[in-house]
Amino acid sequence: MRSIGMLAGILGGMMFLSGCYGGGGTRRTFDGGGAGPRGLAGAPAVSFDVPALHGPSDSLAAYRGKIVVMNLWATWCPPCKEEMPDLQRFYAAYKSKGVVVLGIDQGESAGVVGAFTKQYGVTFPVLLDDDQQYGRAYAAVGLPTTVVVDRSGHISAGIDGLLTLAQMRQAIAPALAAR
Amino acid sequence: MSDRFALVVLALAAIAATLAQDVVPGLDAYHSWPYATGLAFGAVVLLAAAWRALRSGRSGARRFAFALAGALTVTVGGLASGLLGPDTITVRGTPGTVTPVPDLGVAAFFGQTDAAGIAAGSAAITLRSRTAAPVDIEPGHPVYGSVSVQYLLPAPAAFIDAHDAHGNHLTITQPQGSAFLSPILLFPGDQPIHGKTYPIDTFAVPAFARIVRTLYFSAADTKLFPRADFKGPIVLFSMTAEDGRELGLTIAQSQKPVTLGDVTLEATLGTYPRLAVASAPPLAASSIGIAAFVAGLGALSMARRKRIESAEISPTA
Repeated sequence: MRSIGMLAGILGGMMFLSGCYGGGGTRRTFDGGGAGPRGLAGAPAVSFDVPALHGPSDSLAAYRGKIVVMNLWATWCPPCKEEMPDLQRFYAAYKSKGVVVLGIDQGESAGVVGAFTKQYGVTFPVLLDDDQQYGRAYAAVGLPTTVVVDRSGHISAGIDGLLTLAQMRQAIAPALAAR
Repeated sequence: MSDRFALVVLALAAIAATLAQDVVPGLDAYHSWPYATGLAFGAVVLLAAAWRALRSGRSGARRFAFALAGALTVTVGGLASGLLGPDTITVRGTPGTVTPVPDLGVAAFFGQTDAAGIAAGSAAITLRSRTAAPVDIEPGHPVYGSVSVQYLLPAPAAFIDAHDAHGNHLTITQPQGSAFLSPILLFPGDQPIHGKTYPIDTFAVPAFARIVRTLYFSAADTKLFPRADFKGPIVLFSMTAEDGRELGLTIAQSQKPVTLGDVTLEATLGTYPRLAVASAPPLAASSIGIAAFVAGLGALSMARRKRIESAEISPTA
């Protein structure tokens, strides 16, 4: 009698536990991405070797030790065109302070990008990201996208959309202040 | 049928039901009440039988109890994975991006890839957490956790290359996709045609103000086009201008350029993995349990053979 009671208890326990199972509707699918570049602050900055507009291949990693203002852009993007003169002015003003502006064109040919940079008087280094690897890795949700990388190679800020000269100064202030 | 034979059949059935979670992972059935109740019932019967055999004191019965305890270990592992293991989930990510997987307490790094990687279906996913070393998951090589298994599910993908009439490379964007700046389509949508659904995705060529809906047909699905003899998967491009004008549609085979609306498109078709997470019995419990089950039955069988042999040599009757 005692063993029957024990068996019933165990069976009841098992039945209770089985009730903890889902009802069969447990399959879920979800997508990554979509968070945008803001959420990247503090993360290590990833780098890819891609062709440079002038010269051999280049990458973000080549500028380690400097503060890098990485700007993802394209020639067909109106806000990128609007931002470009300020970006060039910013580069000229901060070059001597160990700050590099790195323009990374997304998916366009050297001829098109070269004509554009000539027209806008761009002198900072420009990379040609044919496979748009930087755009994916930095979670760009539009163009332009600006990512500030500090001297240690970590992302200090990720910003979606056009920046004014004043906003660029503000964006690099924390990285400049950190020694 | 003897009681012992019936118990061996029950033990084998319970082991098979548990190991099915490893062989065919991710089925909803593993989280259903009939599966759980079946395993629980099996576990109770095995426990009771093992206890009874152990208490009988005979050496043969003890060996049988050992075998049943092994089967019980496997079965309890199967129950535990259903209770404590994660729900079946599939995580879709764009190459080069990171997606948190809260069910596992990790971040999934979807490996970078290019057109060749899409064609080969060779991309991997790395799981990273603050507390453990990174775990690489490669196609065809599942990784087992305590009560879970992580594996890759190949899903249709296309790497899109676009050029203008002068051969200039053009940017691809996915304004509605999870990654805006990606030339890799992962086909998250479904398009019903004649009662069947086909993967669909959309991209834009902003330099030319073009929007392209892309429908993917696997090699098996190309029989929808009986007059054509396609050797592999194809895509159907349907292009509109941003102002809504229809610019036509065309079929493209992998790595064969087509021109539509002044844009030349080349799709490299293949697969890119999704991360699948499912409950699975603890590998250690399954291994130890099966070893004990086999060892117990083996010892029982050997003892019985010895007894028969000795009875044949020196008959007592």
